[in-house]
Amino acid sequence: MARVTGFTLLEVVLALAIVLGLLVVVLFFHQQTARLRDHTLTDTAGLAAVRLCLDRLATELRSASSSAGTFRGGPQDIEFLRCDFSAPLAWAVGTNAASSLESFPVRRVRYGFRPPAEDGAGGGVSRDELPFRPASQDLALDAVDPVGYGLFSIAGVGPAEGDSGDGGASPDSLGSGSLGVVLSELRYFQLRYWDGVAWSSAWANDHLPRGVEITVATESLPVDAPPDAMPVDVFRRVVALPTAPVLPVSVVESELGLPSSAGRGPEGQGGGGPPL
Amino acid sequence: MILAVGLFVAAAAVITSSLNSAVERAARLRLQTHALNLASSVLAEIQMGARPIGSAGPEPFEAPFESWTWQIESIPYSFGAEEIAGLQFVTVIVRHTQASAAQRLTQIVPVPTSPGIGSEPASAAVAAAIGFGPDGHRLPHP
Repeated sequence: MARVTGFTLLEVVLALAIVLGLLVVVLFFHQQTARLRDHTLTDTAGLAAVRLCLDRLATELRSASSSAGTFRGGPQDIEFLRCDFSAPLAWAVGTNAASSLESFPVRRVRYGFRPPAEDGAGGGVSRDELPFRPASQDLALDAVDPVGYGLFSIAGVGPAEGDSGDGGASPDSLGSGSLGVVLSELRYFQLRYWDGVAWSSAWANDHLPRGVEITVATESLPVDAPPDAMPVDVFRRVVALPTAPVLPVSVVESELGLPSSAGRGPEGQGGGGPPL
Repeated sequence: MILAVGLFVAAAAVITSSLNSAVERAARLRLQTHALNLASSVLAEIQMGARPIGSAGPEPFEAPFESWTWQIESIPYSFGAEEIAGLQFVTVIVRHTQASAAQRLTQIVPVPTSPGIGSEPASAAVAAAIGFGPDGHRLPHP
């Protein structure tokens, strides 16, 4: 009589238990790994956005035009003229390159911030750029009054929806222009302007500020956060504007509404510099 | 069975090690970004006239960057054997107090005459250093 071979019930149950245990371990490991991978990817994308925003804004600020009235800034918006020196027009002498809007080297650049909604969706730092061409081709660039020629209210570009100044944008400036969000990873964006004496949160003077401080973060503030609060991990860079004029201290103080500093020491040398 | 478990553990170890390495590199990238921002900010403040140009530090930054220190090393700039008046060779060193992260940036900066940079002596010195006179014409070779 042939002997019947096979597994006993106990062996089968034991094997199944081992397989199930291993499966649970594998699933847990996979879940943890996926979570860590997502966190690392999000972190890296946020860092890339921070570096891109700071590098690009710093580069463009350094080439900002020093023409009067071309620079305006709020706590979360900034707008200025910059010249793209690498454009063909910059090297095209005696040609009619100025008729080509695309090749015109002077551009209006605007950075703005919209905070995310309460559910965390939307928002971010946006940048737009429009070519700036004088109404008359006969005018030299340095003879152009940018406000008079509609620099800040370009025809055909109306105010964007939700860009009425609420939610962090400065209410009385930078009103027009269609903004597309380009860096949605950035959830905090703050600007300050240095005039040789103090930092201010907005800039409306005719001349350029001596420096601009940019603070960004990838995490947003709670809705009920105090006005001077900032996220835990912020990235900050100060950019010096080389074409900004060096004004007498008395002029700067009168612009800022500060009392006279006579006897207070040399300008900008007190206290070892502005707080970073 | 034992072979399968062994292979699984080995694969898990490799994957975990790779992930740890990625997380560590992301953290290092974050620190490097902070260091570069802080160092370029200190240089910008020197250019703005908001910070003295002389050697100083190391001192901690103010909040929220108190775990970082800055140091400025400033020496007169020399072009060849000749010292150029009005120019300083400024090196900014930023270090983290706990992690091994540091950034060093160097730039030639005009010495500010009160109350700021962009002074005539510095501009003339730069022009002379690259072979041009104050009127914009090329200087004769010595």
